[in-house]
Amino acid sequence: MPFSQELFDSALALYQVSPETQANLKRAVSTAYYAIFHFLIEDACQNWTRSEQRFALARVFEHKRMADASSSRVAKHKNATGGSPEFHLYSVANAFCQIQQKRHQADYDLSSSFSATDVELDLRLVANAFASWNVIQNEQIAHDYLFSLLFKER
Amino acid sequence: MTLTKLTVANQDAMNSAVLQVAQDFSSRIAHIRTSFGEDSTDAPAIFFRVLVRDEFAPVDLLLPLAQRLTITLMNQVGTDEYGLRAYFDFRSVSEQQKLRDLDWD
Repeated sequence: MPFSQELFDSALALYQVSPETQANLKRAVSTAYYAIFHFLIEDACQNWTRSEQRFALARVFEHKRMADASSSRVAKHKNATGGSPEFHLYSVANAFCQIQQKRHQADYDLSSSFSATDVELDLRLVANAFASWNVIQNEQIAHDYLFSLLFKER
Repeated sequence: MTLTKLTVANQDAMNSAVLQVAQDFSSRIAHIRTSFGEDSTDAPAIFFRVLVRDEFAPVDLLLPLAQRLTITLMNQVGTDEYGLRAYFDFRSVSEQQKLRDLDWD
């Protein structure tokens, strides 16, 4: 099982712990973020032909660069037709942006409180992002996005 | 456009757009609160807090509602035109009654 899927399963398990606590809700969000973070990096690194260098390459990805690239896709494709490759890319990029911000809040803002409704929605957004990625993973638009997660577009 | 370049008039226009969207979705949401700031990457951002009526809080109902509402808000408020990244939080009325966050009232 890919590491990103293990992380997502952990996020789901944390969400389902009873009784519900802020600690578990926040850890669920944080873990779900790392699931999509590593999911995208795993796929991006597959484009690097020298497999022995992929783990080192994975360390090069930065949260901010990935956020910038994703935000630009959200802005560009938010009104895409449902079911189109652009729509699926929007789903992926939007999930990444939303949950990255929530991860920051979960990990660093002790004054914030999370609701189970919002966390469940976030988990569903990430699950849908995985499904959308499976639809477009061989499309040029998807690989241009992966490239932009690592390299600034000019 | 950076956050510092947002004028009071810009913010009033955005707030009016938010109120209109909230009215359009009033059968499903109680209200929308907003705040301006910077996101985790220091980019200018607008944060939407959407209070959802309890009957629309189950995720199978909330997901399509959230998808429509978020795109409507980005389009109507013009977040991209103002150079703002948009972030969305949702909670139900009954959850807010328990959590009692002033930012959500």
